[in-house]
Amino acid sequence: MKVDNTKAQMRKGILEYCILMLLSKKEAYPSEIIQELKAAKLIVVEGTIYPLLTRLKNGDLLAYNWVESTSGPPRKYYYLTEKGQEFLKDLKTTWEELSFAIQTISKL
Amino acid sequence: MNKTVSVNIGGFAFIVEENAYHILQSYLTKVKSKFSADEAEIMVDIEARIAELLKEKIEGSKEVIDEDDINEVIDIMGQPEDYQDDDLENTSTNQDDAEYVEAESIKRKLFRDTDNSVIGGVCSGLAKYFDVDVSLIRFLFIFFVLFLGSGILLYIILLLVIPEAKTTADKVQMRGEQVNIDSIKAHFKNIGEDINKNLKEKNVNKKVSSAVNGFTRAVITIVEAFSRIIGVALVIAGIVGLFFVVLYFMGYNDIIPFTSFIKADGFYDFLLVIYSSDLLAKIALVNFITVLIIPLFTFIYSGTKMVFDIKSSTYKPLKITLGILFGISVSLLTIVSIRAGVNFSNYGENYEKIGMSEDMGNVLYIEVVDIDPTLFKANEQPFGPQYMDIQSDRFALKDVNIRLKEGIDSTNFSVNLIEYSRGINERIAMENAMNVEYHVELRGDTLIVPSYIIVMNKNKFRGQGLDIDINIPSGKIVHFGERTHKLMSIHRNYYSGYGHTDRIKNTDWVNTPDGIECINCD
Repeated sequence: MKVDNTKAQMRKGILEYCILMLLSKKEAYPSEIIQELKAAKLIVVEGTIYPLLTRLKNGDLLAYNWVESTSGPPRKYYYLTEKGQEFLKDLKTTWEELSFAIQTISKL
Repeated sequence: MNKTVSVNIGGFAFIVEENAYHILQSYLTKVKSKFSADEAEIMVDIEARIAELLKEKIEGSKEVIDEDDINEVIDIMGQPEDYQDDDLENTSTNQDDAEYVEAESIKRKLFRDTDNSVIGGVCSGLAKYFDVDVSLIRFLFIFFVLFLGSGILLYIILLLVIPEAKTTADKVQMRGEQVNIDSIKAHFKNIGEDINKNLKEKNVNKKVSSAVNGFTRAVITIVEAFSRIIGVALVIAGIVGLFFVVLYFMGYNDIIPFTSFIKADGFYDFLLVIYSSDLLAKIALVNFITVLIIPLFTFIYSGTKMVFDIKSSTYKPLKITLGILFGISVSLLTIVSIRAGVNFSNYGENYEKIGMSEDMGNVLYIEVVDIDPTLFKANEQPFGPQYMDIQSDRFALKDVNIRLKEGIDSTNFSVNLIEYSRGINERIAMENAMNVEYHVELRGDTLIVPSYIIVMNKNKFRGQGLDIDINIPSGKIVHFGERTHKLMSIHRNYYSGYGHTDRIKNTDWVNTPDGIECINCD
């Protein structure tokens, strides 16, 4: 059993949660999302995010609008679908439970 | 000098050095291999992003993309492995990871849910605790607010007593464990495992210790249950008490048994006729309320804490403030009560002889009237007789006593009124007695007596009362009429006992050589 594997798993779930949370606050295009996630030190490389966004979109959690950009090609502005909002709510609860679990266990 | 290629990346044309182009191409190929055919969209997005990054590189005088630029972009975007979007399928087959530990059931606790609050999150917290819809709880509170505003006080108490859910741990506990099939299954699974373990480990010590643990747990559970029951009782007592206090001070005297003894529009009206000044009455009123409300408040407060097992210590300034307030109120009440009590220290009376005609028959009839029909209206209510009725400018006291005496004059009845009162000194007490308004009327052979005396409010209540002394000549008779039970008391003679007024109506009393005797009593 590799520690990297566990780390990646932990990170992956949280990354999903963070992206949904971010998009629940405002619509954003990938670069913006990346900026925020980088600022939060959650991702190191940008590549991680694209497959994830697409998967979330295919899962109907996200949708996007094309918006013309002044400096380049039109951008995909992602937003949370209704299903995505429900999903986020669930994740939030789970996160609170996990966080509680960690707090409790680490206090032992 | 390097050869360059013109390429289209994400819809933009770039001039790229040849070796840089090769690197980029092999990179994109590797990345692409990570995705299935139906995920072509991802590649489009990635290329668009790469184009964006490259455009930043050629800003300014630079026109050609070189190897370094490409490597930088790859660093930013990550190695092909980083694109791996491992789905759960890859891991869940792993035996090590499949071992999920069931979350221990979380004990539900009461918190204020400030995330979903209108005021302080009291309602939403309660809703979470009881797992009901928050609008139901809010509706109940609004209902209580409409009911004389008691909901407001209740809300304030709960706001003070229930801690806010601040940390995530609080929020989880606030919701508690969701009861569903899975959690129930998990629960039984755990129990089953425990039993198995116990069977396998045939260790006596462990069994004993687990039995002891079980016993301790049982005791704790019982203690907790008791504390909850007491808590519920305290809360109910507190709330009911509050209702009654509020209602009583608003003038609904008859809600509390025996308080209908004194009838007034409000408690304050009663205090006004007791205390010598408005100020004292006001002080008394405020402090009566405080002295009653603070314990009720404490009941609800500590009751709530017991019911919901809230461990947080009471906010200290609140405790101190309430304690000091209560102390001050008790002291002030004592002071004003002493001030009022002094006014009752001396006794005085006023004597009045009723003129009787010479040509009366052998029987003196006595009948009782109510002069003012607005007084003592509530006299027939279940909670005892009414003694005092306070109106806007005067009050009435049902303190009229008839005393039958052996007449010294052998031929004529004689009737004397003795108005009495108390006061700060004898002179004032006598003045108070003289201020008692009472008029008897003689109609033929019938003496008409009102059932109560009247005193103006400005003259205050000083324990005023009235005795009617009837001296019966020997051989003559006094007849008590149909309504004489409305009197306070009837003394057979000054020293011996008196009969109950209910039994005395429609009876005849005669002066015999042995004293005053009833001819036709039961």
